[in-house]
Amino acid sequence: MSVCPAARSKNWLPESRPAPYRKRFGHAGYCIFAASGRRNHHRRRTLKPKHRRPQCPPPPDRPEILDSDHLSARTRDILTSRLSAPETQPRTLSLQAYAVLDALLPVLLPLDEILPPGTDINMTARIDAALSGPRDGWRFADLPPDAEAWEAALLTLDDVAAEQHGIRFIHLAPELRGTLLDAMMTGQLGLDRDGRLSIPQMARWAGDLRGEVVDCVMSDPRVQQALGISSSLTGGDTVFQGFTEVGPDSREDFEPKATAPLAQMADSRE
Amino acid sequence: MNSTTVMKTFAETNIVDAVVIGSGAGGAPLAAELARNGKTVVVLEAGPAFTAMGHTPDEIAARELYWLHERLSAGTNPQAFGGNNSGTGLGGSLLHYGAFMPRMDARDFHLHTETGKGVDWPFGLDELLPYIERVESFIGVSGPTHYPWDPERRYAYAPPLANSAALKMREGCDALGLRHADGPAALITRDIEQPHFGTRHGCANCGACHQGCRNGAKSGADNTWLPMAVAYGAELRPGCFAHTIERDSSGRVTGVVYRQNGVEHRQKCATLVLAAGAVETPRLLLTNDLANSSGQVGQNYMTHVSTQVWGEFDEDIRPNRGYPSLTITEDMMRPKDADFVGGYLIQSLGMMPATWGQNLARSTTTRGPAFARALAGYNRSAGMGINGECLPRPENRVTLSNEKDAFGIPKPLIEHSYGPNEWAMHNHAANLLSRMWEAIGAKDIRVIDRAAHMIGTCRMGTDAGSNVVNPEGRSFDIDNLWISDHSIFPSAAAANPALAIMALSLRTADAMLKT
Repeated sequence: MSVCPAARSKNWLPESRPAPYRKRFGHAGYCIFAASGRRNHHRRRTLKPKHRRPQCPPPPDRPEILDSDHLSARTRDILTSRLSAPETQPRTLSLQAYAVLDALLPVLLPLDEILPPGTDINMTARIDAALSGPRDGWRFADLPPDAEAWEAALLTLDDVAAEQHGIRFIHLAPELRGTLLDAMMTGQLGLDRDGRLSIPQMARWAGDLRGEVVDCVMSDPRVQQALGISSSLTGGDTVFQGFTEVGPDSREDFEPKATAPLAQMADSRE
Repeated sequence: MNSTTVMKTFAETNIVDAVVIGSGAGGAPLAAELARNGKTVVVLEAGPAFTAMGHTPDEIAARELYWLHERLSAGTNPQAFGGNNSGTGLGGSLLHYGAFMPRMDARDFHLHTETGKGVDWPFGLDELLPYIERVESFIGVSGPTHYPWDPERRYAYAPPLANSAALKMREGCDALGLRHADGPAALITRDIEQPHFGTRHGCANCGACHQGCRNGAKSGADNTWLPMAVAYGAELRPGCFAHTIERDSSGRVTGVVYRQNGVEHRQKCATLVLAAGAVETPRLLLTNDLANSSGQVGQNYMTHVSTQVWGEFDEDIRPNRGYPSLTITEDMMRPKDADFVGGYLIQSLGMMPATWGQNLARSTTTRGPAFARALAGYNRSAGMGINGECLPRPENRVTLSNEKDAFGIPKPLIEHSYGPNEWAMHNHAANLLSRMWEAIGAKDIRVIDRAAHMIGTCRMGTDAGSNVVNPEGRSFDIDNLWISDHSIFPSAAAANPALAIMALSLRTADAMLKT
């Protein structure tokens, strides 16, 4: 492995770093080595060890919805647990497949217009961990079991990148990564060899990938806060409040307002 | 359960009158009815016992309510299981169901007579109606004072508040001249004391029906039938995965072997009732090579055509709030311009964000900022969806795959492909629902092609050569084996299945009591 994406990500950089630098790499800051035992891999030469920067910065401002009394204690614990990255990375995928996943996520679903600058929801690590946890009870019969399918699919993307462009997927410019993803989703990318997925299998898996990414994103309290989503605030433990207003343009005071640039239209009408 | 009730327990060596496998809509009413009539009953439930206030609206964590033993999905329309299909835990799928509770249309019992397609039920609505009314009365169903498609019908509870999607669908119906009403919903809208259970509170409009109702408003088995069963002496055993059905030399069932906490147990019984759903019931019969002289176990798997159409509005919709699917129209039960047989119901749709996002993600191939923008439109989105007839087809079935699960039992393979009738209905609905949304100014209208529910696989009928059970739910091959769930439906009909499952369950209990 020659690249650590997080080493050049916005998260690792000071908040004051000019945005163009961060945007140059178009990367949302997933660290494939964090907590994997390679503790010093981010260290700049100019820093002495005692001044090392933390590799995985503390989460940004705690989303306000977590402190609402419309949240049950159990739901609060569930959401809070998503603020920190899983301790072991990768847990399911090989380092190679993990790096491909890490490099495709910001191309598939960039979050920089949804989340505040510097926010990293650890998607790669959370998806990798989820693949080793309880799944949703079914899979396409023409795909192998989930963990195996994800490994094979990601390595297929890597091999195709190497065959078409002469370099690994993670070294491709974002535009070329996107082109490969588009080819995969529209049934034009796959490999007929052991340990890889065929064209129809890749198209099937693309749906699983997109679904998993959306699960990870929409269940994150920072995303819910940014998009103004009140779905977790169904009621507390002592008082089960529910909602008293459920019609259009009737946000209740305890419900979050959207802060994401992409989602402010509705709230701006109030 | 009512905290004052002490549950009776039975020794495994006791020969109980009935073991019921499954504690949901199929098993629970029957168990309660048998117990109320003095029968000794043990209910085996594979999942745990949940508590209502322990449910969480978090969609990922709420997967604990779904049947998570892996299924393999094949065919040209491979069906998504998990969230929409099959539950686990005391109460079964009713723990996570949407509580949308329309009655079966009288015409759907006789689809073959009407159209030459599909299959007739061995009886009509008049036979099932008394049981339907008993179910509605006992569990609590809300609905309008005037139901346009059945003026005689009455509901005991007022409808819950209409949410944004419900109001938008009303506008869409008005724009195209369709009738609409508040749909029947299996929830209560005022506090009550439920017999044998205790206090159930009125719906708080929290919107998380599919993640488990936290205040008892939603009418499930956990707060109605199961407490009644316990009050009359039934034993509920959660965490028990039944896998082997034992028989004597004459072929009659003598007991069930199940695994609980990694240990094998055996419960002897005089009668066995399978109520494990349209995948697990045939899976049990196939793995035990039972009750299949007709060759029909696992065949005739059906779903509902469940096309959805979503749009974005200028207003702040907040689709997570309020009962998700309140508005109904039955005007498409036999549309005049149909190029298909049967019909479909339309309901409004609110939805929780990850479920909504999953539908969006799997039905499009957008990427990059456009994908982010689509997800950011959640709070401005409202949907409508249908449930429509799905004809039985020989290629749609449940069989045993070559893969084994953690118990060493073959995983089920479910093959599901739409035929011409399902595609024609999907296209009709996609067109109509899109026009409804366009008429009231929705933008970014998106059609989602999907199927929901699981029906068929152990068909009931009068002919032993082509059916698994008789019209009462009794196996043609083994006289002390009964099936009480949606696997016995001869046809899918358009209505969501839970009400008919519960009504059939009571009817089968009556038949068992007469033997």
